[in-house]
Amino acid sequence: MFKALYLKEYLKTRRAFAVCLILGLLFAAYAMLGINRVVATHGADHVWLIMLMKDQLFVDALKYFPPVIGLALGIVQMRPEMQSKRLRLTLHLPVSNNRTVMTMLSVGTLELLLVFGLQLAAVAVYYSGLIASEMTARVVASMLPWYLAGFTAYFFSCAVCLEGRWGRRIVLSLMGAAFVCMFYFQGTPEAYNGMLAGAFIAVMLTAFLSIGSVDRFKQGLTN
Amino acid sequence: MKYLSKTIFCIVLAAVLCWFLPWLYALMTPAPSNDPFYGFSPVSGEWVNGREMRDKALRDSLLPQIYYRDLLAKDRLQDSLNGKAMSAHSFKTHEIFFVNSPRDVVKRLPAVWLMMESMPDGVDLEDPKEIFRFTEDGRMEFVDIASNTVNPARTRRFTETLRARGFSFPATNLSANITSRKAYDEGYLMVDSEGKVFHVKQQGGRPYVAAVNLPDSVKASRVFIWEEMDRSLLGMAIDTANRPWLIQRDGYQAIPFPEGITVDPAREAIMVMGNLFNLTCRFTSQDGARWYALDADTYKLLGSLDYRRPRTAASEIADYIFPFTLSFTSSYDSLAYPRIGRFSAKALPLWIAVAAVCLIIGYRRKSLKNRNNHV
Repeated sequence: MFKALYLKEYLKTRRAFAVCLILGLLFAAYAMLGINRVVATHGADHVWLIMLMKDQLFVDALKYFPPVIGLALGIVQMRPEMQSKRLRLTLHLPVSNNRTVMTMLSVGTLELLLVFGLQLAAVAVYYSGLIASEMTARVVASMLPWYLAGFTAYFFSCAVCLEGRWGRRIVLSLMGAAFVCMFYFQGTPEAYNGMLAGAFIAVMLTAFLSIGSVDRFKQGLTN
Repeated sequence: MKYLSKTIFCIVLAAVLCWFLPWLYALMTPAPSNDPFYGFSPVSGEWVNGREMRDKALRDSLLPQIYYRDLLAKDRLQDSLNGKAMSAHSFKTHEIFFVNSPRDVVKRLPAVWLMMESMPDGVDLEDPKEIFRFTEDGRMEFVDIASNTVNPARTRRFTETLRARGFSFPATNLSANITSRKAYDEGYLMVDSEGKVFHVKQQGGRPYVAAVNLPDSVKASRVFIWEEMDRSLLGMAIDTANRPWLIQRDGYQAIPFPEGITVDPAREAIMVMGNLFNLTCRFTSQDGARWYALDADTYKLLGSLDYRRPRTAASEIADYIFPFTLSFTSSYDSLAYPRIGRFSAKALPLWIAVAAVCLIIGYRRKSLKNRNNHV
């Protein structure tokens, strides 16, 4: 049963996933080309100096990519479920509704993990040949909150799409926007290191918001 | 599972409101930042708030160390004061202006540091060509930044020199001004793992290492290098009891601030203004600022002043609205993490009333629902 569910979710999101993957790698390539340009025009030492003296990481092009991708994937995956209330079919399957919802979310989460992981790995591999390992670790640690923002945007967009009432949708959207903003309050590199573990747990817990939305949908709380 | 979902919804909603509402309130009620700026007058021996004095001529004459350019322009600068010759040159050469914010102290730094050349071939300073790190096996390892490769010769030289001078690896705190846009370079002030302070710089590719003479009982925790026009002072050290020490360049003597003066660089902004007559220090916290004036020659305390920032009406009203606030950033550090603060019991009546209203509305809704079900 769950294999079929995985396949259904994959078929639903495969095009969006492919676009996200290509965009993710293109954005990473764009950031690396930018660094390459600095190296070509000013020398590799300039990259070191700017990174150490000005707290710049040269990966700003990737900053807002994760939440945009998370939001898009959430909408692409869950919006069709609510069109003509097709979600009712899924909920009539002879398995726990909660497990069904979590299975659906796990597909999107894995796809995002792949997109973000490949992008982060590309940047880390490129930087490791150019700068000291401590500085590469600094770049990676500084990018992690952006990816957490991506997962947050995904979980909240899923919860909003699965929610049946507009009032609750607006509240969930505003909560999601505030949660995503939290990862962009402080621009200093490695500023979020101290709360990364806690933030990761909090973000993963927001996946359960979709269960609440589905439960309300089952109760007939729709507009 | 649905109860877990409801709980998470409520917690996230509460957290967002606890952050958003105080933030919105602060955005709507901006407070002017008009802290007074004091100078210690060598004429009257008192603190003078230069910004508030309407009589500019009197202000200039009371604070010649700050307004000597105005006095010179109006040809009103005396030849001498308190036995010290006053001229543009003498004022310039005794100038110190050092500022440090807790944002620069409380932040995560990469464990690599740039090393400048203090004696470049040309007249001007050059951008650094190498970085260094402290390795786990107790070495100061230099890496050429153009090729990203270790420089073994320089690593060996610096490591051996540091060991010979009694440096205990690794350094726990370092301070340098890495820029080629300065008059001269003094390299680094470093605190070693035993709390001793060292002056380390690169001269002609060779290491220059000198230990600062701190009493054995004193352990430094932070250092700040100055590189100011007045070269008599190399910088400042803060010991583990938060007592500041001035570091003299000649002889590397450390001079303690007068008894009772402490500063926490992680919570207070530091400003030091040195001049021909005195050394004025301002330690600014969230509540106000403490000012101290030390004699420029003896470093004895001339005067002190404690300024408490008055609370604004908006801030007082906020105490009656918000029982506490949630924020993720602070103007006093460069980190992000949830911080709950500004607890106020004055807001409790308002929120008890809000909770009571919510309960009554909830109860009435439930009763109405039950009645409809029966019908």
